Amino acid sequence: MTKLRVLMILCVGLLLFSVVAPVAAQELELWTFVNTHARWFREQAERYADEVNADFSLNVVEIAYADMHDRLLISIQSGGVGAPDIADVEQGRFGSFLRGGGDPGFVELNALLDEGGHTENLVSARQALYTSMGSVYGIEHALTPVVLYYRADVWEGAGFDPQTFATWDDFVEAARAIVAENPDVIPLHIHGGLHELLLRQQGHDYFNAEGDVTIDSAESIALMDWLLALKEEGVAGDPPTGDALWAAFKDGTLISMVGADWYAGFFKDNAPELTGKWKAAPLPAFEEGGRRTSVWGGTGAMVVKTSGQVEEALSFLEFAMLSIEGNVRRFELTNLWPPYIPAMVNERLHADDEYFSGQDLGAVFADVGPEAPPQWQSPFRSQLNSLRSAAWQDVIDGVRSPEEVFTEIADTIRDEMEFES
Amino acid sequence: MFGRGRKIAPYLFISPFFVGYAIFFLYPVIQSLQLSFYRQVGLGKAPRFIGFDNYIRLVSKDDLFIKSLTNTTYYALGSILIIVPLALILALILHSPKLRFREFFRFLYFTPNITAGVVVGIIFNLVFEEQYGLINNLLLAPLGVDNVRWLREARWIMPAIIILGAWKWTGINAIYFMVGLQNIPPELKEAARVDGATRPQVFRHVTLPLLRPILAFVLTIAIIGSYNLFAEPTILVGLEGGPNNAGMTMTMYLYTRGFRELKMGYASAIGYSLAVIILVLSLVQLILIRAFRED
Repeated sequence: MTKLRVLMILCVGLLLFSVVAPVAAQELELWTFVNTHARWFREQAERYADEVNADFSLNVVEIAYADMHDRLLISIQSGGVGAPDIADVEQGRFGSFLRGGGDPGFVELNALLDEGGHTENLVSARQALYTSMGSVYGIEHALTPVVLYYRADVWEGAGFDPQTFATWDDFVEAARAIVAENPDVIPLHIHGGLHELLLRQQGHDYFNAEGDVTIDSAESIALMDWLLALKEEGVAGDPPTGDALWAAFKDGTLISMVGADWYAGFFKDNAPELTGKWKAAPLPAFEEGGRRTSVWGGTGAMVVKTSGQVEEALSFLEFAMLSIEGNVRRFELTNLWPPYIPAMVNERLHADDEYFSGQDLGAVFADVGPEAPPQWQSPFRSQLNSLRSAAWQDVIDGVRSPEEVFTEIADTIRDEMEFES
Repeated sequence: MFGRGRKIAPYLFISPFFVGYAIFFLYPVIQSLQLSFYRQVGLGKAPRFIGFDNYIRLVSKDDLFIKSLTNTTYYALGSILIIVPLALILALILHSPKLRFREFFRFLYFTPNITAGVVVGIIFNLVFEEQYGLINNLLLAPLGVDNVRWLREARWIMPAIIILGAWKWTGINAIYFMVGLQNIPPELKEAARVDGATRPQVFRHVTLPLLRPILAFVLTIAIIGSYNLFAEPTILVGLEGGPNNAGMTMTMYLYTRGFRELKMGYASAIGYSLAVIILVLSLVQLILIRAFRED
């Protein structure tokens, strides 16, 4: 009998603990796939606990890119089982949440943004990526202005200053001279996003404002042909991916990178030994006086609808993402250029950056930021990216022509659009 | 009252398995069969009945499905024609009483099987790396072979996955074969030798026929395993199967359609197609090696 009583007390105790425990401390869970974001979120959570809600704590979970989005999608599909309260969703994957035209499973932020007076403080072209049929679901982390990162020691050592390159022709001419001296060097690295972001620099994209697929446009094909011609003459190259990519940066094979603001943080995390060797310049334009930047990537923070603590999650996001302090701290920690207009003029964005040879990196982003082109969201973007990445190596190797591949991808997407309509 | 309770009790004791089976296996199996006749795309959308449209689209219009089927069959052939014979050879060597440190080798060949798939994937990414990788630098370079772009060139991806498969599965299959070999009474072989049979003849006419149950088991497992292949290629070349989707297997295709694009109806149709393919192939294979024959 006593045994039974002890067992019963234990059971009741366990039950009480499991019910009461989560309520006592207000812990929210946040999923992200970028360690730079995680670092910043953790710091903001501490600041929020200090200044707003002492009971608040944020469990920041880092999960690899593909895994995180897949798991989030599945947990929302299954009614929020195991879903976090807040999630970072990359713009390229947000489309898959919109697929089919149903409810994407995130809290609509229109009220928060409008009533808080934040809407006009955010760059609308970026917010468009997380907006569907008038409902805003995410707050952008970064303006993602694209610049030309380059190894200052190598380029300047060869007698060139990439800051003075007005057009891509200038870049190519200098690159030819460098390759003539050292054939092992790859001045232009054709990474998986290069074609896409250069296309946007020209004012086009894989989808247009109406949602039609345009990867097979004449401009898109011509641009890829141009990149392949550069590869043919040795100015551009197709370096390895993953860890081997960083090895190629470190051993000096790669001497530049056309990348967005977030790439600055990637450099610091993955190649700390190159401190003091890099600089950044506005992108060369395609024609004299043309646009000197593009946009690449971008991630929106979203509140998952099934969260039991939506109010607290929204309050935290407002505190961290819609404040000057939060945005400035993010730049200081991760080099993400704020998409939040009031923060853009903050002088703390203009500190000398030791990694980038003491350069004022913020000045480069601020300089090109206003020219950032728009990018259009599509529920089919994620599938298009999959198709494109599968065919990419064939295009790079010259096995199949850009025209053939891009037309095939566009036709597949059009067929999918029709099948699902 | 007591009597009735006694009759129920045994069923109650074995019920957890059946309840679990019904909830986690039977229900999804039936539900997904139903779903395969519906179009369900995305979050929060009600499914719509479309009859056989998903299946028709799969075989008539979906190049990627055909591609993933071809890729998977490629691996299955590699598994049956390379990995299984290798395992048999290994088992014959390990079975030899003359071999020293036999237990050590057995342990060694078993270790790939207990190594986590993710760890294997990461290590093999380094093994297959084009410039710094082990195979290119230590095995091929001394032979004067140029660097093979294992994971970046479509035609090398499946061979790479088969090499990984061989590393992982040969050992455990060899252990199955060894069990079979140990169960063959030595008298039979001795009798054959006394009758003047050569060693190859003994193998062909005594050992191999007696290994048939084990062979049937290993081949069936190999076919099922091949058509369910997921973890290794996913980690080596990503869920899309790398360049040209050359490493995309049917389960990876099912996963991307179902969980990445949330086309649950379509993914269910892929799943059922896969089940039918495995069933048919396993039956054909069992008939071919006459596993059903009564001896």
